[in-house]
Amino acid sequence: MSTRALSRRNFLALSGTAAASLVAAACVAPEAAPAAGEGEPMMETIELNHWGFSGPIWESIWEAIPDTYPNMKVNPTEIGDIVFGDQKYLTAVAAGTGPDTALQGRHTFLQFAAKGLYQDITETFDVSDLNQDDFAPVQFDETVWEGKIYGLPWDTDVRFLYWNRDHFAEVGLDPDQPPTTWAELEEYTDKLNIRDGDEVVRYGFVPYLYGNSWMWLWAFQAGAPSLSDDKRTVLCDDQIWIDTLQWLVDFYDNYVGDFESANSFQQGVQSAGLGLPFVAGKTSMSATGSWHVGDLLRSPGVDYGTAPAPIPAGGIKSTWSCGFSIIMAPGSEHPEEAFQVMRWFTGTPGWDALATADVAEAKRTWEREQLEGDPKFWPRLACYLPALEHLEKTYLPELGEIENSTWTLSLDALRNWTHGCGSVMGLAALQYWVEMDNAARNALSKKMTPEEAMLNCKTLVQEATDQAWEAIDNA
Amino acid sequence: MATNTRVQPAPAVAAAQPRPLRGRSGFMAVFRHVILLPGVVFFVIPLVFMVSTSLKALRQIALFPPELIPNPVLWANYPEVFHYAPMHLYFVNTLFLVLPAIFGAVFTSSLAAYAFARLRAPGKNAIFIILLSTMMVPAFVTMIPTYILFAKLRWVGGFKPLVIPYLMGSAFFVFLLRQFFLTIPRELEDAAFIDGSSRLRTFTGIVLPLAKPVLATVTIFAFMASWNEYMGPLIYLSNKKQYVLSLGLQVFTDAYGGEWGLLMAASTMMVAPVILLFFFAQKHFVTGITMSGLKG
Amino acid sequence: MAATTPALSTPTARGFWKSLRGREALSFYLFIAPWTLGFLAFILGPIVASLALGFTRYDIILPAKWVGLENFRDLIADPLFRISLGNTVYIVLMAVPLGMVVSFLIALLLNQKVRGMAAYRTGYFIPSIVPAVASAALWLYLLQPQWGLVNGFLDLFGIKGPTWLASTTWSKPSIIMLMVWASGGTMIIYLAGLQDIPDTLYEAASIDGASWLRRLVHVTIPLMTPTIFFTLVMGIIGTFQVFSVVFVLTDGMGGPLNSTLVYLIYVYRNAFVFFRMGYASALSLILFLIILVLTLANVRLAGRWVYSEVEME
Repeated sequence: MSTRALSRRNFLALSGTAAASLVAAACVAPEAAPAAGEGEPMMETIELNHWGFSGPIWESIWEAIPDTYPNMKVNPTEIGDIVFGDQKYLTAVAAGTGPDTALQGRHTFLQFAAKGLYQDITETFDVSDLNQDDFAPVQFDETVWEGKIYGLPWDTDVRFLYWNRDHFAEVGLDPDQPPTTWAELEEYTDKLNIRDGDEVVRYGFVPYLYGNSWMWLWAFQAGAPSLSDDKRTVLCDDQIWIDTLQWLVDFYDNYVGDFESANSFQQGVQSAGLGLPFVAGKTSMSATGSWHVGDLLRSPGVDYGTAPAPIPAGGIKSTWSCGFSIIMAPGSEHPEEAFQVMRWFTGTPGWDALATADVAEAKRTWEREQLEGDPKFWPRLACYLPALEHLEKTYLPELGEIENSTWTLSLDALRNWTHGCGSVMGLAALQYWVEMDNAARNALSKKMTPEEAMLNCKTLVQEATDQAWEAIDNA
Repeated sequence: MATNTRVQPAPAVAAAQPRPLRGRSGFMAVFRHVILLPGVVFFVIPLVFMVSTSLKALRQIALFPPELIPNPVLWANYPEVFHYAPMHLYFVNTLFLVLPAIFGAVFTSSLAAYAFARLRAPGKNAIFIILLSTMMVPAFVTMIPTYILFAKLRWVGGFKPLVIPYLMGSAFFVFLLRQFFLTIPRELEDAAFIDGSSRLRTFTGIVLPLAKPVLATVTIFAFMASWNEYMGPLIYLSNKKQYVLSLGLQVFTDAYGGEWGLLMAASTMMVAPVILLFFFAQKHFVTGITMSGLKG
Repeated sequence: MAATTPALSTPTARGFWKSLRGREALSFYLFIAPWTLGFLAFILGPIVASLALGFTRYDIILPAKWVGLENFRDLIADPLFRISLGNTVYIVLMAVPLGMVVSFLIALLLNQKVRGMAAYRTGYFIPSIVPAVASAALWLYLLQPQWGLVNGFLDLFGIKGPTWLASTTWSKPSIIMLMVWASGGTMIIYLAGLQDIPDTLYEAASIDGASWLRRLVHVTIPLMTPTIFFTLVMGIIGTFQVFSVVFVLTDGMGGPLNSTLVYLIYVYRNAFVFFRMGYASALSLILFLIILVLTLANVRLAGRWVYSEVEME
């Protein structure tokens, strides 16, 4: 599990690719003609280097940019991993040879912004026709550090509960009634579990390990804080965290069994890409991200429903989101054009180009895998709300009832009840991830009590956060 | 440059030579297969697994426990790989990295290795330790200083950082080759040397031909290392027209995440040349030193 | 033109380069010149720079700030430093000797004249060729406790297999197994070494009536010592820096519960995940010293057991 597994989709999407022709003007630009000389007005073509994902989808998106800006050309280059490490970008910026724009993960966004790894675009943003209210609020917030804007949010996701309606009917539960509280979740899980002696045939529900929920989801529902308002104090030692972890431990004891066995089951399955437990019917409920609809469209035959994940007594409906933002690197020689690229990419034209490419891709996939029926395309969630509406109008009518209700659920969450993934963790975000994961595993495998585990998390992450602040305060 | 002993590798003769563990009967031949076969099965499974997954649709990969034999067999993954990553272009680019690396291993490194194995000079042992110590610092911490160096040289964005350092040889190969040169009977070179051949001619005319098995080994190592090299191309290359195979593979692990069938098809294509190379290179391992009467 | 006159043994400083020994030394420097040039140009600077960064606080973005020994003091108090070093030492102690023995035995097996040997050799080498993602996926599958083949096999003997990679006890052995299985590189080095042993030696030994085992002990192994020495030294250097295998098997985490957190994952994490490049450099400096001391010890001891055509000076 890994931070990489933060979100399976992101994780998969992440590690990779990106685009852009590296290094700036400083280096010999290989094949491409050298950027045109200085100062010629009008007709000069401005070449920009963008680092992000690579492959035909991304190439076709960037090929569409001259339709809007005839004088611009974007060279995309693979960026490599941008969630768990960001070597290419960091190395290049350290050497002063970064791109013009790049995709960046949201976990580490503030950490990087605070250190000046991204350009402050506040002024350009303010004079542009962009309106902050047009962006999903939480995601926009995650590009802001100390009042300054350091990028534009691009895509995102939300997490909720999926349940298998056939399994529900089979054990006498109402297929239209998902559990809404932790108590119901436990009750349903107990009914849905199938064991053959020691062997687990089917898990009703496995929190934490399966799907993509982590401790964040459950603790946020219980109202747990993660950081003080000034982002200097780590709050993972709050009693709500400890209680949430205790609930997870009890859940394993009562309904899942040994953490190690469940973990090994999961390791042999998910990490290897060998199958998705929910799709394969090995688990009846799963708390995971909105992207999972796409997997289910590819493997038809699962009759499922979606709803907000169950909450504790006195809790609040809540989830969390992650994704990528696009930034301008320090030292870009064409800041104005770079901003236009960012705006275009995160705006409706960019999303339209992406969706067109995605649809073509879905068609290829359906043909290649000889899937029945028409190709189905499940749009990614855009942070720019007008683009989201555009996607909804264009693509949702072609999808079925469950996809439409899930879309509505996702949008509701996105506008009203989600948390971020980076801003909530502050300046030592990845340490926070790693230590929160360690804490959960230590408690679930009975190496520590929940209290010890969370205190340990607090000590380690606080130390890292203090160090990060010290560097900033001294700078 | 008289070699007063016949040291030319003689493959045909070598093959006919009795070898250790020589069998005395048909029974022994069968017995050897009985030992070799089960082992090889265990070692070949990853390949089988990879090829099997490369022929499956995602819904088949999602089954578990996984099924070994794809049903139906989805050949379409293979041609489809080229839509996502032009592997044929990347293949050519990869050769630009591989060939200099092999040159650096076989020529530059062996030259230094010979010196370390045979020649005496002040400071030699200290230099040898320095050579070894270049392998002891993790690449993660030298990456940024190295990158800054190449950025100052304006080499970033092209093949130079991935080619020129490799042409200069590498500590691993120097050390490996040195160990092999140590075992070559010294009399062979001494004779040539005393006959008036220069050091360099002795080296190229006598030592290198004798070292064929290890040079084959070194070639394979150098080939594999640069064939699979990922981090260097990732940070130094800046244009998809320059991409190498390892970067091409990235398309399947990332942006198209979860396309395991395509990933495995691409991996199979990437591995096939290495397997072929090994298959054909391994026969050079048997053209060892077959001189007679020198030692023993 | 080669010296046909014996060298005089007491050359003056000026005369030295004209003497036989001097000419030999000159040849030495010329032979290593290309490598030396590469070393001075591309390797030395970055190594010195990165080790020096160990005495700074450097977060890649802001300029490095000299902090003297602070990183090393932090390191002494850092439990993950101890854990990662301990895990690594465990893996080195197990994987290096096991890898050497298994590879040696396989090389002996593959050093025969058998029909189809090319295919056998290729087969045994395959684990070293297949990309790490593919072999990691395979191992996760093989070691899956409920339906994996390994526990299925143990089940035949009525043994209930452990949970392997999910168990803090068995995770390191699982990784060692994978490393040994993929040590085809060592295997071909041995194979090349075995091929270098003149057949005449075996013939002579056979005539003397030596058994296979005696030939192995008295002919093969002594002549293989330079190769064995190489694999030992490189095994230590390489295994202390084990990374990719663990990274792909544990999704970069070194889990469960840090039981496979090896040294280089910790270095990587500090450098590129936590952006504490100064600390990562300090960790690297410690690792460098450990490996250097072990290597020096190996080189010192080599004279006692490694066969050479040249006496060690």
